[in-house]
Amino acid sequence: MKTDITQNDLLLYAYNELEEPKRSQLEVALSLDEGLMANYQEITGMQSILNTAIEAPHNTSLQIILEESSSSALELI
Amino acid sequence: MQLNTISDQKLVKQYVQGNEACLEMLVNRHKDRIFTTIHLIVKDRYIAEDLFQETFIKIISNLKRKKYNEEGKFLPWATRIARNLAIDYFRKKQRMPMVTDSSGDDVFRKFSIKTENREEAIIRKEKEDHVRDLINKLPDEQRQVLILRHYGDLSFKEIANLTDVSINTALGRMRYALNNMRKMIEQQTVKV
Repeated sequence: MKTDITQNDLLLYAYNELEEPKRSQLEVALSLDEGLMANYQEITGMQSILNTAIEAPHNTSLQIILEESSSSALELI
Repeated sequence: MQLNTISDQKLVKQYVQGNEACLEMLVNRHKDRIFTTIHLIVKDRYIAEDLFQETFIKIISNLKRKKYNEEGKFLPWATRIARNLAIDYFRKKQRMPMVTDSSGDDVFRKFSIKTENREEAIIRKEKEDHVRDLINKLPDEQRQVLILRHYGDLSFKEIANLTDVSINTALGRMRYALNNMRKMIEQQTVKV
């Protein structure tokens, strides 16, 4: 099946930015076109890999932020 | 109502009205993505910790002065503040004093490793470092779009406006970034 779905559309869809009616068209195309589905899975696979680099700040930073908020709240009273 | 279903918008509203617990929820919800964005931009964990604190202190100040009006888009707003502070850092070229042990290792990191299974922590850190190294090898323009879209949650349109390019250029840079990452991973797999 021929569609006018582009690589940019796939990327927008993977990041939840593709709007209707293009979104529904793409979902239909994905269910019919194995090549397109493979391209989409490449993007989502890379998203999973990128997620492994997500890291947390140190707890000390969090404490400093919350203390700053509390002290600025006191100043306002 | 479950706490994790409360929208950012409601948390911001309640925090501005004096509910301090709402800030803690906002911080916990978004801290990892904001910190990762900063770390990937400045490529230094100590400076990233410092800029992360500054980012939230600025966020607190802006919220309390009612300067936040981007309904439901807290993370992209916070990311833009973090990015601006990172750019300021590069402009000023002010570096924090390094806090390392005799081997030059990250002291803070060692403390956090003690709190979890050491083997698991080492594997996790290796994965984090590996992906971060690959991201750092990307051309700057591709790297910037990838960080702001994937970690900072800015839309491609917002990235296009921020970096003064068309949305198609921003999308193209992201596609090249993901393709280049994939090629680097494949090349390393072949070598192994």
